[in-house]
This record gives sequence, structure tokens and C-alpha cells, in this order.
Amino acid sequence: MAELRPLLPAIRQAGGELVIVGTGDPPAAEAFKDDLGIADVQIFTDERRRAFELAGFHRGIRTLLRARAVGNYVRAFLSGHRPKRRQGDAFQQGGVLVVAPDGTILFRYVSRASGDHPDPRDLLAALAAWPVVCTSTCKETC
Amino acid sequence: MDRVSRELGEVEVKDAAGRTRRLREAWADRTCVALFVRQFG
Repeated sequence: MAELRPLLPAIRQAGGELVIVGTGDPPAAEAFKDDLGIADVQIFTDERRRAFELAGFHRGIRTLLRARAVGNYVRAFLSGHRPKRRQGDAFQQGGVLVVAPDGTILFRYVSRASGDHPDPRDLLAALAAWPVVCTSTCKETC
Repeated sequence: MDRVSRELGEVEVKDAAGRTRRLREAWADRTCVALFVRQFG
């Protein structure tokens, strides 16, 4: 998440909005927003992990034991990230879906290990490729 | 391009206030970058 936070203005400028989906409980979600200073970002919890399952995101202890996961952890630690008390399913990996209002999936990324994130440039390119239809009275494509 | 399944859109989630919502609300009004995080923390 820390990697994506600086992208928030670019996401919004491209007509998109960031939504976070986690597996903890609602108070943990609220605390997470406070920690990251993202009060204006919508956050959902999926405690039964049904959305994670339907989206095809990985789950299992092996996703934590991959060399890539260890490398990502070390890299994050060396860059100053210090894990706090965690809330959610430690075995569940995440990912990213960019979804247009008509349900079209513009971008999908399935994390294979802890700390495995998409290239933000790919994410923004997918957003930029989708026409933003202005809903104001001008009715033009923005 | 693929579309999200109806089933995924209908998944019940909760917002930070504990209210039950449907996941499809995330992209109902504008293109959504849905970031699925492994943990809150």
C-alpha cells in the first residue's frame, strides 16, 4: 500500500478511485486508514475472503516461504518499513483489480508472494486507456 | 476484455463503520482500482 499511496493523485486524475479490500475486521480497517493517512479512501473488509477467492488470489503457507517473499520483506525492512500489529489472514495474498463502471476488468495482478506488487506504470496505463465519460452537463469525453 | 463475475460483484463486504456493502459498489460510479491487501497492518 505504501508504494501505491503516492499514486493516488494520478489515479484520480485518470478518473479512477482507489478502494482497499482487506480481511481484518472493520475497526482494523479504520485503524489501517488512520495509520496510512488515507481518510478519504474507501476501505472494505472481506472477513470470509470470498472476494479474494473469486478474484483468484492465492492463499497458503507456501506463498510466505518463497525466496521472493523473504527478499521483499528484507527490502521493505531496509527501506524503513516496520511491520505493526497485523490484522487479517496471514496466509492470504492480495492483488489488484482495475474495474470500469460497466464491469470490464482493465487490469488484473495476482500477488504470488508477500511484497509482490504490480508495476504502478502498468496500472496507470490501464486506467489511461479507458475513456472517462464526463457526467456533468457537458456530456463530453474528458 | 474480461468482466467481473456477477458473483464477485455481489460479495458482501463491510466498510470501516461495519455497514454491509456489495463489492460492486466500488466501481459503480467510476473506474475502481481495487487493491486487495493481505492484511491490515
